[in-house]
Amino acid sequence: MLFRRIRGIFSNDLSIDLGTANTLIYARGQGIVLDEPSVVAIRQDRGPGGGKSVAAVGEEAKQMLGRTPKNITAIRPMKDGVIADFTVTEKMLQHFIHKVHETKLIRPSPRVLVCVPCGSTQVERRAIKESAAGAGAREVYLIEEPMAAAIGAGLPVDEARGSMVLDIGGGTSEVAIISLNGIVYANSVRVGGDRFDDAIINYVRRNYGTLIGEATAERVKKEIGSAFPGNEVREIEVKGRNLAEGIPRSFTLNSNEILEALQEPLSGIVEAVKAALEQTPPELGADVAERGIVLTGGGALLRDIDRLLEEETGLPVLIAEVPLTCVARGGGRALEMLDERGGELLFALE
Amino acid sequence: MNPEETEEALEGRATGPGERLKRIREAQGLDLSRVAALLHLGEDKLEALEADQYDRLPGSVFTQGYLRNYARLLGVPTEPLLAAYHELHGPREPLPELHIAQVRHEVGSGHLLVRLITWGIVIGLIALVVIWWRGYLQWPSVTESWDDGSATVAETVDALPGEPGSTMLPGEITTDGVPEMGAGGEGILRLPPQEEALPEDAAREETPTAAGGEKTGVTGTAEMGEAALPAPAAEPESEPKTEPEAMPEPAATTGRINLTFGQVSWVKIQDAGGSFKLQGEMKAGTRRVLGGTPPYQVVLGNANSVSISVDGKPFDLTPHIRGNVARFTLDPRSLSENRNRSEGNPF
Repeated sequence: MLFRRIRGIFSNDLSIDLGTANTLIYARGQGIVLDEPSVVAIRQDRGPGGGKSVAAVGEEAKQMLGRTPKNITAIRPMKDGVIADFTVTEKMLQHFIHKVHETKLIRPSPRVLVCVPCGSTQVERRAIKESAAGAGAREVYLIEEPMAAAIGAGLPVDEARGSMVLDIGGGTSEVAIISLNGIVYANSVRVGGDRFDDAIINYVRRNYGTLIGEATAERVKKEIGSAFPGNEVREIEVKGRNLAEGIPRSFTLNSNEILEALQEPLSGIVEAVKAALEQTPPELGADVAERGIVLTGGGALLRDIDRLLEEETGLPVLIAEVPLTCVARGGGRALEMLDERGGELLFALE
Repeated sequence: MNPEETEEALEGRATGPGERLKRIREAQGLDLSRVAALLHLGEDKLEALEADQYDRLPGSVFTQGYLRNYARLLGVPTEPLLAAYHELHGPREPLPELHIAQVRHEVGSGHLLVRLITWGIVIGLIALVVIWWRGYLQWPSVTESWDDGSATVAETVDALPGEPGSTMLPGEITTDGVPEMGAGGEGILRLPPQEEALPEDAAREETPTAAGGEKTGVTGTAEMGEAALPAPAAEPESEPKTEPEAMPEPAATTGRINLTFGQVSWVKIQDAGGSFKLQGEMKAGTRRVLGGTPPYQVVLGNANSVSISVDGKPFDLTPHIRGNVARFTLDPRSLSENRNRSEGNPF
């Protein structure tokens, strides 16, 4: 324990946005120092009884997704915002923590703040906590994602006024109303970027009889995906395996098709927002109506998603600056507040 | 509205971004209430935005969001407007940029200070070990060890300090301290290794003298030292043997060293060749004569109670004593030379 403290002197405090799609690390006083996909490639050693070893982590492992030989498996250890594979998550965290500490002599032992979905259970939270501790963290704090997102977006969370934040991540979307450093209402739906990709894959299979991979679906979403009908129609050429013929075929998708494909997951998010507004105490609801909803997370980058929500709710919807890093930055700010104010924390932190 | 007008409005003679947007809106012929409805904002908020009165708006995050939405509605680029907003409202908070793999450390292990401290600790530890080891050598447990083999020491218990017969010779001495001599006066002298080259006749010439017991111990010693010299063996005979001190040359090279211990004392003496070694605790009243090859590395515990004489002359220990322990190198030859020089001796 003492040794960990000594090692802690040589470590930076980290705020980790352990997301389903991407993991971001914010080092105190330095900003975002890591942004990598939450993917780990595991190599099964040859021979009977051969052990498993980590072949690649992050961007490198993501390149392997769907392209691995038999002895390598590229896996995403996080699913729906929580840990699906405990051991691999621990390895991944360990790798990332080491990556942001170039220290060779001393193993890093930082204080770590991890953001968790507000809908996660105690078991899931404990798993994340132990995973971070197993990866070498000296102390582990948990903060709920919408709170971190609101802090990171720069919302006045300490005011006695309602602020509504919608964080659309890879696995989950979190909607929360925050006032006086606390969460008044929060809800988490298991709809996020991954569900968008799945919807595109299903649409293409249904309408084109062609199977495309996750990586292709993600590329389609990023390039021509939109949540609201726009003036221009964009197109993209994709290749997939024709299910009937069994051979790869090339075809063209346009943005209207993708809009149609995304309707189902998007309606899930809209429903969640509407439910939140319904559940909000009227005073806070009035504040939100006056000021608007702030969007954060990678999902906020989907074209015209703010317009969709505006039309559906009739409220102003604003996209935060650099929405991808809001949660990690907010966590970092929370860490700083933790030191500034000592033990008396003004927001929910476990 | 033609493109020039938009550009003009954007680049701006108009000062604030709200005012620029207002001009563009008016140029496009849009009503304020219509825009407010499209943006889902109250008209009062929109007016405040167009008048660049940001204190009437909720906060920086919201203001920026409204500006962005407004600009998008009017179909103008947002960045110049946001830049103008930051000019008016104060600089934009520096957003953390991705600088992966450029992590600075608060204190890295490769930091110069850390390295210096580490080395300081290591050197300190080594120094402590050395100090402990030296202390351990000075005051070991009460044991007396003798380096046997070819090591030679002349020893006599101080029963007969003045008696010539008990005088020690720097030759090999048996444990009872009596030189091994033939009954017929033919003393068998086994000299230290470096003196084995001693001419046979020189030894023979000398032995009757020692056996006769007529000469003083001092004389005998002088002769022995002389025998060890490469000087002609006949020389000592031609000189008067009663006054060996008068002969600087033999005296300088004889270097007979007597140690007398007044009290219990621990001693460690080693000669240059390493063959002679005296180590252990000496009882009070013990006397020793050194053999082996000078110079000697001497460590004396309880040094105040030890007296050393070189060729019968007392050797001053005081400059070497530190905390009742004397540590020095004793070379009788250089000592004698120094003495000769100080006396102005032509030799």
